[in-house]
Amino acid sequence: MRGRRGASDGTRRRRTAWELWVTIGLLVVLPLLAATDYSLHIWTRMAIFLILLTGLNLIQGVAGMTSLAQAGFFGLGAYAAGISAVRYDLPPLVALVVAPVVVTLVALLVGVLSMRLKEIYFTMATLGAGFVLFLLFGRMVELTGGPNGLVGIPPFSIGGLEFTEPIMRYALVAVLAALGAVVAHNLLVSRTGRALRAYGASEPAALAVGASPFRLRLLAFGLSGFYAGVAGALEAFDSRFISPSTFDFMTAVLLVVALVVSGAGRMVGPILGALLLTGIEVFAADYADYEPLIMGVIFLVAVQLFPRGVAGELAVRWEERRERAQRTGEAAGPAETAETARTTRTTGTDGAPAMIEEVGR
Amino acid sequence: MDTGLLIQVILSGLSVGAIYALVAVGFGVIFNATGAINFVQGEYVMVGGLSAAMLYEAWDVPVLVAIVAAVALTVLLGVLTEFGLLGFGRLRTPASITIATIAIAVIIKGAAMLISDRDTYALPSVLGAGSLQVWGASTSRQTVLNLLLAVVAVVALALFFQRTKLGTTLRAAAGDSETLQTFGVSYRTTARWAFVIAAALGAVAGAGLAPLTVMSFDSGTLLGLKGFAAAMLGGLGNPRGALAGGLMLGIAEAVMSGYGAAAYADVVAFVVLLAILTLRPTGMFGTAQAVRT
Repeated sequence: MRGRRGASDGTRRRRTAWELWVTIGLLVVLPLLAATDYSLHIWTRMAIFLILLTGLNLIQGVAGMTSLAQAGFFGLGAYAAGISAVRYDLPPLVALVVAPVVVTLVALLVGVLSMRLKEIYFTMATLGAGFVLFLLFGRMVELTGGPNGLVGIPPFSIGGLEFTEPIMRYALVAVLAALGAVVAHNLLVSRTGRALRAYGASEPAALAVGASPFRLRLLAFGLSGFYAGVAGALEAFDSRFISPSTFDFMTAVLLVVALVVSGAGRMVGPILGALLLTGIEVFAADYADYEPLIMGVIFLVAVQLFPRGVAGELAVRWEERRERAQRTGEAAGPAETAETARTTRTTGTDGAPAMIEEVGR
Repeated sequence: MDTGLLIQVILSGLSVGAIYALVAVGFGVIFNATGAINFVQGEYVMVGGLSAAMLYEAWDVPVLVAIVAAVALTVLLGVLTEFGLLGFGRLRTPASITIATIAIAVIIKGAAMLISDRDTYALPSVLGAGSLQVWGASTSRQTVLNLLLAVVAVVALALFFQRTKLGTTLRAAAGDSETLQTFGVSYRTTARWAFVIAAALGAVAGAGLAPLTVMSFDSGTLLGLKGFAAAMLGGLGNPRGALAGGLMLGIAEAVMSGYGAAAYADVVAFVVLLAILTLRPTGMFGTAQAVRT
């Protein structure tokens, strides 16, 4: 039984590791394909989306709870960094630290208030939190600049080194995005990650072993806020101008839908989602008026065709095929048959509780 | 304290609150039938108000005829919504249906943006332009009509759910849709009726809202979400609670704007939403349900 458990754990680790390498590989390769200033600007946007979605994936994909607060948190990070730099003359490096801390604290507060609610009520609470933030960005005119936006944000700099060249701006965001992906990956294969996954998969089973989902989910939600804070600060220093409309309800919806369509809960989901969002942004610049209509149709079709997300759907099919191949392969060798039968029995009776037992602490 | 101002504030709060109440009832009907939050509800209000106003302004259609046509169009959209959600037989859980309703809301809003070309349209009140004097405050006649519409809609729905066979079926679907299906009642049919009712309520709300403000393709989203806050305040799925929640939210917003914090009036609904979810997620008039884990 122990051997079996180790094997399935190893498989998961290998699989997510492979997905992690795809993410990092794309971050390195994509700018090489076309390294003009414009394309680097596009890839920087993509990497910012990647950070946002990696954070969202922790609560949406892994813990299985839809959060519509991510756009508001993104904006809070951007405004926290922008206001620190513009109104309080803090160095950008300090602002980059302040922003995620502020957002994490707010996320934890929202989480404490809403985390005990059932799924759909939690979603509506996060919607409310995101909307309050969005409305405040537009209304607290003295601090945020109101609907006209916050202007005069300096470029990111460390000491005297200013990140104004497109390649440096991309490198900064890409390095943090890759770091974020590694941290998320490590968290997901850790005990905590498995526990979170167990709650996402079967809450009653996880509860039955007496673990508290509240604290774990709060951790996941706080972390998703931290990622949004980093992404927001990077957005502020990259665009050097922020206005409320970037962080509206539509953005919150787009983030969730992009992640769900790509494959929530997979390590490779965020990068696919980020590519999708970037594609939409580029496309929208040419067809502004038709964008919402076309986007809505694409999302409806995608949600109907791939309820588990594109990556999720492909992975499920691939695993089914591999399992089938394995079964026929094992059946061929008589010496293996007894082993197969034993494994099957173990999985059928003890497999699930064994996983939860490990998860419970 | 200036009583004239107070009465003025309350009247304008009731006027908008009645619209929130109609939207909130619509959320409840869909929630009861499918367990999902219908993000299209606000867009029904937009379509009802905008199409009535466009018919009136652009094609000189008489006000009442324009409203009837707008309600018919919105009900058609309600039927199409149900088809778009459940017609492919793949969406089963309330969460996935909820996400799909967002996609449909985006489609409807996008189409409305193209058709209206981002213009705003206005609709006069059926009762004419005159204003009413109440204890030193003046209000449009539409206020009275909106209140009447909200109360009639809630009473009619309460009777419909209690006294008719279809209403009883819908209530049963809310309780246990699987058992209901074993009695040979189609989930799709109940859902379709729920969407027809919700869309009609939305369209009526839109026709009631248009004379108070101007309508554009963008009028629905925020209104819908505020209507949801009103629904949660009164208890999601409870028509009488929706009426109370809508009126209370309307008055709370009007008090904020009337007494100097107009910039923050929009925030009230979402603070109320967060507060009610935190303190009493079943709403003030909700029956006990499991909303916490």
